Amino acid sequence: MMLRSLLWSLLLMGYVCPVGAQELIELNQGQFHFQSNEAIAESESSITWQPVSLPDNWNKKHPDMGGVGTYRFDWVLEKLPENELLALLLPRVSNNAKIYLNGKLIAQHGEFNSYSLIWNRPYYMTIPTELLRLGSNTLDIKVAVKANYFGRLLPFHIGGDTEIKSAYQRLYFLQVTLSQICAVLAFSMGVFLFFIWRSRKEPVYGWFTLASLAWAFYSLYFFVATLPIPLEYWVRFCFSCHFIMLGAILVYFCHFIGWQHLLRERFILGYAVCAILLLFMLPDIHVFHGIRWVVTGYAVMYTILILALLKSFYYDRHNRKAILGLVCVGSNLILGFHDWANIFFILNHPYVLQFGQPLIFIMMGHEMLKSYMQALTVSESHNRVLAQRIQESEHALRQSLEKTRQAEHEKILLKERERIMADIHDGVGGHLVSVLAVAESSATKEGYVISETVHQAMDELRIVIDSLDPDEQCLSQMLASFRYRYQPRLDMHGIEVIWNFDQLDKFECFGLDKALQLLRILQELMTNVIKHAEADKVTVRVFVRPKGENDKTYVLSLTDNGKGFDVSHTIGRGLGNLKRRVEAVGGLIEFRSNSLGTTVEAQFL
Amino acid sequence: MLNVQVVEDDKSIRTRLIQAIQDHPELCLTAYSENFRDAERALVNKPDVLLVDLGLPDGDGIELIHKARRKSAGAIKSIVFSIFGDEKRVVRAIEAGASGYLLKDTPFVMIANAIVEVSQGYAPISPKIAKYLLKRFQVQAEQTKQNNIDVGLSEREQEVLEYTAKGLSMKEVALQMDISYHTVASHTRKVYEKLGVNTRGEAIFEASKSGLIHLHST
Repeated sequence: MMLRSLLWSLLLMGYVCPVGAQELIELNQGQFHFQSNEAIAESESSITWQPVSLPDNWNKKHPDMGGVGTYRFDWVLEKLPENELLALLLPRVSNNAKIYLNGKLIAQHGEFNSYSLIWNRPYYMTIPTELLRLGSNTLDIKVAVKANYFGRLLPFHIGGDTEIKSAYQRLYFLQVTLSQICAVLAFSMGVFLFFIWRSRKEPVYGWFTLASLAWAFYSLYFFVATLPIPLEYWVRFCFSCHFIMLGAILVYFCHFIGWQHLLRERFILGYAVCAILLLFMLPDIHVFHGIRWVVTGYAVMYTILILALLKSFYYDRHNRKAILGLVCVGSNLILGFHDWANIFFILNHPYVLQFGQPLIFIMMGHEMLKSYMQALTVSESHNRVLAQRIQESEHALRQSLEKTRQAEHEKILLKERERIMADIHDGVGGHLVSVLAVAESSATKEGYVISETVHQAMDELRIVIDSLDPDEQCLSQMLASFRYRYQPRLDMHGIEVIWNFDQLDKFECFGLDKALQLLRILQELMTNVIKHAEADKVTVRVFVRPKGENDKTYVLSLTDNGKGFDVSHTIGRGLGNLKRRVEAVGGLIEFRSNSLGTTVEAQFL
Repeated sequence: MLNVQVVEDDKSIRTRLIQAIQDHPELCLTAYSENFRDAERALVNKPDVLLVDLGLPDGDGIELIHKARRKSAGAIKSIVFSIFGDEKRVVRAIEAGASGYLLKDTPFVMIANAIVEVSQGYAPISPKIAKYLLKRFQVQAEQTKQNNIDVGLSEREQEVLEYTAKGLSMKEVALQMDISYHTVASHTRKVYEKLGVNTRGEAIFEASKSGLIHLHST
């Protein structure tokens, strides 16, 4: 009762500080007389009036009977209104009402048939001044209702039009407009989620769609005054939606939190279906009892959910979903309990459960936005990964293409080499070897010269052929082959060679051209040593000489202990050749010679 | 005395070769021919050493080496007489059973000595062939690891091949490894023998070279 007074005083705040001159009167004590539909109109004198105090539901006192309940209120008017009309505000009157002032009909609220339902909207009217009497006035409110539906009247007020009207607007907004907004919101949300559900096929969206649409239809109950179907079916339809909504929200929350096991979907659905069947089977007189018990069942299920949420919240405070669920379900449960109590204990408060729904929408929107953002982030990162993979595979493809091209190139080279080799083997090489055989067998000086020249020619050929072999294109391998090839010749001439190739690994990026030239130079130098130097010891060295900070020079040096020669006067064909060879690859060659031996240094950049 | 049979299609080379063999006190020429057919017929003389030119006008020298080995149950030692740059064929000849090879431009005086050396078990390997063999045995080792067949190189053999691939002569290899010249020779001979055991290796190696099989490079 305290809560109710507080609520009303808040709503009717205008009366607390009246602006106009009119006195505000609250009428809550009167007399009541019931007349059933079948009853014959009684004369005024034979009516027995019972005292009544508002709020009152007369249909409770006359179960299973439709008819008209007349509430009579007497109030004394000390002076007639002058500047401002008097107005009347009925916060809630169910279901249809006719208002009489001093025996004259002044207003009719509702259509007085079974397609009219105005249980939840306030009624406001101005009172015609000419019908008012100075002193005692009588106000009759005849509330007509079908059997077992609402025949009730809440305490109402008479006062200055300005205040009454603004209070009416507030009440209308709260009870009708807000309900309409909620219904539209729920419906739009339902449609929106329906399309998401159709494309995503995630049950959580399906359940929320069902809940939203059921909620939207249930909300119609709060503001639709002219019904599309007779009242008794309308009530059953609206409460069926209510049951579906309660069940769907329950299932949705269980899905949302990931507790499908908590309340089995099938059980909840079965419960809703049974409840709806029950609703349509029950006679009118038991319909509201049935609704109460069904809603009580839901309340139990929601309480279980709340307890589970509380437990989860207690053990894991970081479970954001549990907290969100707790806030939404909790607040809705409180609102639901309020409405349930409203029905069960006839508190006649305004109904509020429909206002709990925006909370769930906000939460759902938040969650959806969050998952959308997550999906966006994930898809962005996937895109990045994809782009990277494409890049990598492109790179790999390019590499393999390059490899293939290289392999092709090598294949061609190999083929070419084999062809040249075959030619040499059968042709040039064979002839050269023949010549060599002839020259060696002649045992003359000419023969010796010829054989030497043929050897040189063959060495030159070897270098050319080897350079076509991919395996032979590094300097170390070339030098190894050279060393192997020359060893017998050197042994034959009794020349000991010290090969110092320790730094060969630093010649990694020494190009093929330079390597070939280096080899030719070495070959020529070696031939010179054999031919002219009369040495018995030779040191061959390849090494790297640092030059500046990042630069270096590759050096081939050959030192013999032969008889030496006069560098300034000996410009033989051989030495000129050597110079040309080195200069061709941008290097330089240096000779140092005396009677103790010769050192030749070829430098390559 | 070593009985030597010569197969060489080039007349001047053959003449010079015959001369070199006849001049050598330890060698005796049993037959010489300029083609595959005559050479095959002459194998009945059962020479100790068969000096074969690979490019014969009417057949493949490798085939001849193979036949010689089969007919004599390994008693005939074949030496490939080759022109440079022909390593792949040389390796095939070794697989067919050749005991060694000689380059045609080797001074003829040395050729006679080399024939004696090969017959005594000395198996010359050029750096190029050594490198080729190293790669090949690596592939073979990888392939046979699963089958638990050990036809791979021993550590010493591997070492010998590595030094040889760098251009070191047998004497130098012996010095480096602190073993005798003869031990080095026996290692190379074993490598040749192993090469003849599993000829599957080459197919695998060729496949790896053409990119069908991935190999770790040495």
